[in-house]
Amino acid sequence: MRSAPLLQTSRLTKYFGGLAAVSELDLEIYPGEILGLIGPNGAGKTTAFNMLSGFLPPTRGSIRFKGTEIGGRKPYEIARHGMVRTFQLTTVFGDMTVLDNVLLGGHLNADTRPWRMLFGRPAIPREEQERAWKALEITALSPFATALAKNLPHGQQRSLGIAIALAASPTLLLLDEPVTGMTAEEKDSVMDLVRSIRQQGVTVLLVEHDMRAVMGTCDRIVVLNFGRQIAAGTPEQIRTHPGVIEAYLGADFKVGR
Amino acid sequence: MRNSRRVATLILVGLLIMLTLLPLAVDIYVVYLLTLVFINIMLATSLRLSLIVGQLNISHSGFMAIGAYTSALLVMHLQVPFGLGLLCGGLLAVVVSFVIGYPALRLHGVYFALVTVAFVEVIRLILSMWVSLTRGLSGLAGIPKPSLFGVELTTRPSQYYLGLALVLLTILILARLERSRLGLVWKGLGQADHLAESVGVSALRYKLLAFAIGSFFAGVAGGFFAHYMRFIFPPSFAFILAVDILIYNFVGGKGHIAGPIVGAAFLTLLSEPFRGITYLESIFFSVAMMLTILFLPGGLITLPARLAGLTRKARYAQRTAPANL
Repeated sequence: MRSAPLLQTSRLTKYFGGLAAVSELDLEIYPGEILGLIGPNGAGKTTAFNMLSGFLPPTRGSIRFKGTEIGGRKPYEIARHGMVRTFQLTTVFGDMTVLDNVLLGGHLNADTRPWRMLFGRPAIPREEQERAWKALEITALSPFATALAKNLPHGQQRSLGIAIALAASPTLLLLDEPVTGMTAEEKDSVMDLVRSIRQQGVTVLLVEHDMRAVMGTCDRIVVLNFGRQIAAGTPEQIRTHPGVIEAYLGADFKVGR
Repeated sequence: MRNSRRVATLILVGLLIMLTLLPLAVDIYVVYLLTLVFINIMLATSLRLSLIVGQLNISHSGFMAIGAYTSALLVMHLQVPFGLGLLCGGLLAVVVSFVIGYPALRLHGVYFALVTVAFVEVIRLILSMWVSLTRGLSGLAGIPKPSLFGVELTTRPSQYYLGLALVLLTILILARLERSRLGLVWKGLGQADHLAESVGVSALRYKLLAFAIGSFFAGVAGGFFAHYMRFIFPPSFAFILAVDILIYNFVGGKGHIAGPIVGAAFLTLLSEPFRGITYLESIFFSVAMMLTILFLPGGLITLPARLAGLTRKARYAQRTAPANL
């Protein structure tokens, strides 16, 4: 299983003023796996996530994706390399139809040469339409293609966020707390979705609070606390790791439910 | 759905026929006024591009001024044909929009708006101070009338038709751009720019494109304005005009390209009694803006649907209509 890592950070560090939000993080993500990144509030998960996706420049350290250094690149450049993220809050383009949301997600696959965009036919080519419909099918959103995104219920808006990212045909998909605020059934269906995305050859990094979701889905888990990595391993190892239980789960946390 | 579309097409065709025949039937003053409406529609629809990408742009009168002075000076001093002058005015506006937009479009919200306001002032100052070229506050008088293929358009109706052609062309191009993939990207940036960037959209690039295309049409509108009025001076392109162009968009409605068209036509015609009396004009525009915000947040274009909704409610209350209406 251990081929060359798809994504590798070394000594990745971010300071806010004098505070190290993330320090000396060495993270490796291998092709085809689902990696969970967990930690208590303020552990630096979101900061790490934002550095990987280009929304925050690192203070120090390197991020190599497919062997290329991408630390400090702009989000749209990182997306071009094949690493695409989702968001916790604004997950969709509210005033567009669901289909248009996904069509825009496919921006990288579209013909965006300036003269084409200015003088070409306004209709969107068939291949692009098909790709968009495929992303809608995977996320079970095809029946709502003509609805305005802002009119979808919360759970489906989150799924649409994932569909937008999928339409960009990523190699590595970064999911930022995809099940926050969902019902148990919605959580299950999103986790099924994550597994089926991996089935299609997309590697997934999952930042998540929900322990059940993380434990049940991830192949490997990395635990952060105070900006540092305190443990890494399979869900089984993390479950029983004394440092993790102390720092994150709390001494009286019942695992396994 | 299909039916309402057919109705819209019919209204459009009727409107076009009416606009074509109008100069034959009405007073020359009305023809003159409607031509000004055309210019304002060009300005309002082109400003819409900035609003779509979510940038509050209050610099349109500055780009209009660039187009107006460029075209007027080229035609007056270098005997450039009117059409070429118009084009050069638009292109210079594009060049300047790149220079301003490249740094400024990294800013959001009110910060970008402030830069655009400063820009309008700088343009006004340059036009006022560079007396040897622009004749400063005395303004440029005796600008040649528009001409087509060497034939000067001397009468107001002929200029009206040129204005009509220009505004239709502008609307067609802008409406088409809005429907294209480019329009999709623009709307995405306006609604959630970080989300658009996360799927590979270079925000700066596409915002710059919207800004430049909008400025081009502002420049062309300015050029036509110069040759139509035959006199321009810096106050013609004051900051307040840029605000008015914004208000056309808000009052007409931001949801559809019909918004700025309706808004510009409505406000230009209704404010006509106050034209030239600056303070009355400002009061009028402010009141129109506030009334819209209070009673029609979607703008005038949402009025028909609103009225239909109201009558339906009223009928329902009276129980005179079947429930399945």
